[in-house]
Amino acid sequence: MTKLLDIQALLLTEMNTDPALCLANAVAWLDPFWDEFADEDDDYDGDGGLGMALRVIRSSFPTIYVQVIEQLREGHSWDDIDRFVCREIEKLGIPLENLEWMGYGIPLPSYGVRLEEPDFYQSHADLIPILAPFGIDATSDADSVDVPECAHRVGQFIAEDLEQHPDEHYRQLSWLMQWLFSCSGNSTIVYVVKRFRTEMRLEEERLSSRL
Amino acid sequence: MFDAGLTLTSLRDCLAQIEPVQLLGMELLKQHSAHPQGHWFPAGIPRNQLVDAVTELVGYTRRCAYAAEQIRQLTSVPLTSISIIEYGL
Repeated sequence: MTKLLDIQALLLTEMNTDPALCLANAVAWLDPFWDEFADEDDDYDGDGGLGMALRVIRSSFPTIYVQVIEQLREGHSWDDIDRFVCREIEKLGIPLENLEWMGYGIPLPSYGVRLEEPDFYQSHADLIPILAPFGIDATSDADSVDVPECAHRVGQFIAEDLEQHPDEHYRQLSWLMQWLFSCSGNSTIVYVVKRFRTEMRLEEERLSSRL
Repeated sequence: MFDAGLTLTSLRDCLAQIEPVQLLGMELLKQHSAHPQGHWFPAGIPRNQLVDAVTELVGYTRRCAYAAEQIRQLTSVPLTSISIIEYGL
């Protein structure tokens, strides 16, 4: 047994003497998930929310990552790790009931507008005449309100044009457009999916105009 | 590149002279070489040092991945002066 331990000590010494082996040893010790998250654009969805959580804490919360590695090495279960990460993230002031929610980013109250949703107009009837010039008819009984493709783009142009207007009333109109067409850049009042689609469409148009 | 006087040999010599990277994690491994019996990694290192080492290592990994990606996109250079007899037809 002593000889085996001697051999292990010899191997460790040799490993730490060679720069490449020492680097490999350091990675295995401190960052064993390096290969799992090598591709930063890859949406890792293994192990439910835990894979995403490990990716996030590795890049943004190294103190928690170090403790996770320590606990895994001590033999803690994945359930323990799950609870630990939630608890530590909450200590940072970010409410996180379950790791499943981690993939959606920092939770924020959302006051964004989804113009396709008929229920929206029941509580905001005063907006119906404002949206009518954009081709949005919220008075029909359809399950979904039809919003023309160009409406968001036109709304964004109006918002940008009036944002710096000297008259405060026009600036307020700009803010209204920013809220309605999700182009304010303020996460709490932007309906994310629609905003994302709008940005993607504008980007595609910009790229195609260059070709 | 090769028109500027840099040869394959001088390029290899240049690369061979680069000092091996010295990261904090590697230093910690060397400094705490007396591991608990039967364990492969050191123990009892202050957490703030471990956090610094992990942060540096993750950043280094990211920079290496970026550099590898950049190199992968380089245009290949035909080596017309070198004959590989194994593939001679």
